[in-house]
Amino acid sequence: MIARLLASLLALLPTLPAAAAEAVPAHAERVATIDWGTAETLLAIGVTPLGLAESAGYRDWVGEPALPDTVAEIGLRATPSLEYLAALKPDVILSTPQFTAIEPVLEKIAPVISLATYTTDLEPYRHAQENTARLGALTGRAQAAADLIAATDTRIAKLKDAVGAAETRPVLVLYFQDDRHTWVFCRGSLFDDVLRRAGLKNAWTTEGNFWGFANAGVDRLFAIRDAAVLVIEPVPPAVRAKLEARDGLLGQLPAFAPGNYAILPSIWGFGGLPSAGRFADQLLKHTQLFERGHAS
Amino acid sequence: MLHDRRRLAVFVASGLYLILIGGLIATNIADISGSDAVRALLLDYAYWPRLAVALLAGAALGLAGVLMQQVLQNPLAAPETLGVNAGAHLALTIGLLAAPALHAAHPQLLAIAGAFIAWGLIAAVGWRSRDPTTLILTGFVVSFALGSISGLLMLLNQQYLDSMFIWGAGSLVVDGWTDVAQLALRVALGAIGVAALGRPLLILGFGEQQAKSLGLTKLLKPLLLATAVLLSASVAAAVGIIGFVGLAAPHLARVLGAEKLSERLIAAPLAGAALVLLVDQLIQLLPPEQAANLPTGAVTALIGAPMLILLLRRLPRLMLEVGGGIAMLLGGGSAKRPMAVLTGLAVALALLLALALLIGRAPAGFGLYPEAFAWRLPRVVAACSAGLGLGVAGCLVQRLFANPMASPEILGIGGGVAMGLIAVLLLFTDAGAGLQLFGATVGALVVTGAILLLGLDRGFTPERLLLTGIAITALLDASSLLFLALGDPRSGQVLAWLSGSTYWVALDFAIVVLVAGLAGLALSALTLRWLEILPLGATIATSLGMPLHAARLIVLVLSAVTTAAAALIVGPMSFVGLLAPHLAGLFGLRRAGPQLFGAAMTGAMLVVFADWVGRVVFAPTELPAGVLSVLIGSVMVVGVVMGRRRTF
Repeated sequence: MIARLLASLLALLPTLPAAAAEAVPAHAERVATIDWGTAETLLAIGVTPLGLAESAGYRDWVGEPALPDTVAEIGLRATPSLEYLAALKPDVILSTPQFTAIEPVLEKIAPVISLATYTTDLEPYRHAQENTARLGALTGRAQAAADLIAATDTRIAKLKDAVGAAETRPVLVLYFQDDRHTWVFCRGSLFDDVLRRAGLKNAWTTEGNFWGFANAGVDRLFAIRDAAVLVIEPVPPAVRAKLEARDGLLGQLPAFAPGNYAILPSIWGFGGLPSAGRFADQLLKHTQLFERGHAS
Repeated sequence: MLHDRRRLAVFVASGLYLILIGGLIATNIADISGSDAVRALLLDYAYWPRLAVALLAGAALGLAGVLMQQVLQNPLAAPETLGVNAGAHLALTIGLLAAPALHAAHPQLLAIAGAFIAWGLIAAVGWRSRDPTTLILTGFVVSFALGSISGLLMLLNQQYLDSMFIWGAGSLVVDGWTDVAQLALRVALGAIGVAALGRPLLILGFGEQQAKSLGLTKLLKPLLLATAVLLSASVAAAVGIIGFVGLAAPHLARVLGAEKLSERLIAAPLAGAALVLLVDQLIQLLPPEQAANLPTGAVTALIGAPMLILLLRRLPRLMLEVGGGIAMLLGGGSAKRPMAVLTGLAVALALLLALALLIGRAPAGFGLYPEAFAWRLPRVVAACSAGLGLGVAGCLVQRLFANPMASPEILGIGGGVAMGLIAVLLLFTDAGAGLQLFGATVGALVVTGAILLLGLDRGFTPERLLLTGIAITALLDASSLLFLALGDPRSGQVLAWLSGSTYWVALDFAIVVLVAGLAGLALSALTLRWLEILPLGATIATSLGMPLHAARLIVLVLSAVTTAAAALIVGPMSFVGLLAPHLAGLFGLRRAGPQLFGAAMTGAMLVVFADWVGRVVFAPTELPAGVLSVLIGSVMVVGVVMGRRRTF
């Protein structure tokens, strides 16, 4: 037994240095991804990824398009299991620059394509379109990708039409961390791009990081006057209670006066076109919030 | 004369402080914009409550610090060194994941309960020891063991625990007066408790014997400590971790001339309140978008840690006694044939290496998966070399400190590694493994240099090194917490690295670390005579004609280099270095030579095993080797200390 193990080890030795990355294939049927945004884009163009990292998190934070049960769990996004990945025999592994450090490891299994959406040029929507087209070409679903790009544009155009030429109030999009701290989406975020394309103004005008959000304590939301507020789920229970009871500073803020804000179902703030489209659809349901003349 | 001059200096300093803080407050209030109604609301719901929280938190931590330091007769006792923060953190994390409703309804009770449990653990393990250093080291171990469990939970549930990142960095943003009132109530309770117990406390200050002869009840010490834990836990519960104030405020009070305990009981809370208020007002002076990225608690730690080092230089002498561990290192039976034991360990290590290299887990279950040998090899080599280096470093550090609870982590090198990594991530948006490694290496070198420089003027006395290490480790905490609180989506990667994942180690780098570890082992083998004598204490060492300072310097450099190399792979905290020498001791390897080689091999075994278990136990979700080493290690440490108690 041990002799056999040793023999197989020895047989392996010459192959060790030959871990060089293979060329990225022009066409790939079998793909695995460690990024949720890429996963939602794949699903939207009709490609089911073989494996996804932290798939339970995808179901809670991204939600739609629904993840089929056939998608295998491959571990944490920062350290996906090599054995599980290899068992899927992917043609290509999809990643983002956020995971640059583990690409050399992943390349031992299959070529890695890194798709950047959130970059220092702060244009995630444009990058999401490019990445969709690239994924379409890669997986032989170019037409579906073109359709997704067009459909997302249409969803935003619909919103723009609904808003119309009427004067609108700025919109504040945020996510609560706890009852005292928020992440506010600003320039460089997918949400900001959608607002901009729909002819709406973001109420948060200072810049954040290149992921398009800024840390803000609730006291800073006082500066937000006469703006519609969209809170993205999940909302922590303590915040929900304060909002409902109009308690504390949060309850005093004009931004959170009843009828001035809406709570949207979870939309992945770091996703791709499907997230952008869902955000546009949700905005369409709440146009009355940002119509000028709305009582605040 | 001298006394008068000092009093005058304190008077002038307080006056300047009041002018400065008055100016800051006036400026910050003037900066609040909006209509009159909005300004009034902002002042009433945000500015004034925040100012009150800063004062209350600083005062409570200062008072808690004095109590802890006085009761334990230990200048390093503080909420952070006695597990309060780590316990509260873990309790809140578990609450948020397992019982969100309970967490939302009673976060403060949860945090306070966690703090008391952590303190109880430390007390149970380290209480009987009369040696103050051992208690602090036990606190260090327990804090980081709990911290690593929190870290693991955060790594596995990163998206769900964003609020804990903010909590860990101690943001003073408040929402109205409700939380302030709760905190004020608890602080008042604590202050009343101290006032009631005040007279006995003054007596306790004169020392154990006097206190006993005056007939003080046995309950007094636990009661006072409970008050201190309550005070500091209330702060942690209300606003999160405000780093280093509890430790530094009593010393600041002392430097400012509060020499009597009765004076310090007043002066330390004042100093703490003044410190937190100043830092918080300075932060609010920044443009709001920057201020939002700088939670006050982490900033006080960043400022407080170096300040403490400076303050303590001015104190006559640190009151730490060293030497409680000699019995542990030298006591017990030695193996009659150490070579046989070492051979046995080598065989066991070889078997474990084979297991880790050959057996993996895939969807189909456990198996060989020969194509994975090439991927596993760098990890196995990396784990083995990190464990080996830490084992060697642990053996050196324990003999240098003459304390069985010392570990390479307390040198603070891991902190330097983490800060280097985070600096690279902040400067470069898509830093790859190579650049990250470069930053980490620079960080390790800088801290190693700092340890040597700071230790130089006192001849590398163990207490001085301990202090520097604790301060640098606080810097690590503060900087990594600041990064995590930024909310950068790369925090998953930082968390994985901080918890010691071998995932991205390349083979050539693993081999470099292996060579460094082996070189450290070989060079340490040349200093065996020193290692044998150092634990006997400075007096004996000098009388035996050993060049004490040179020996300490050389042993320190050797442990720093081996620790740094290992920390690059297995992260800043693993406690392998603490444990490995004890494991070697359990096998009867107690003399310097056999223990050194035994610790190297048991250290390697521990990390290789932890790495393998982490890969397979919850596959495909990987648990990092560093955290698992801590978990395996801390259980064993508790066992070792409990066992040691029996030998007395």
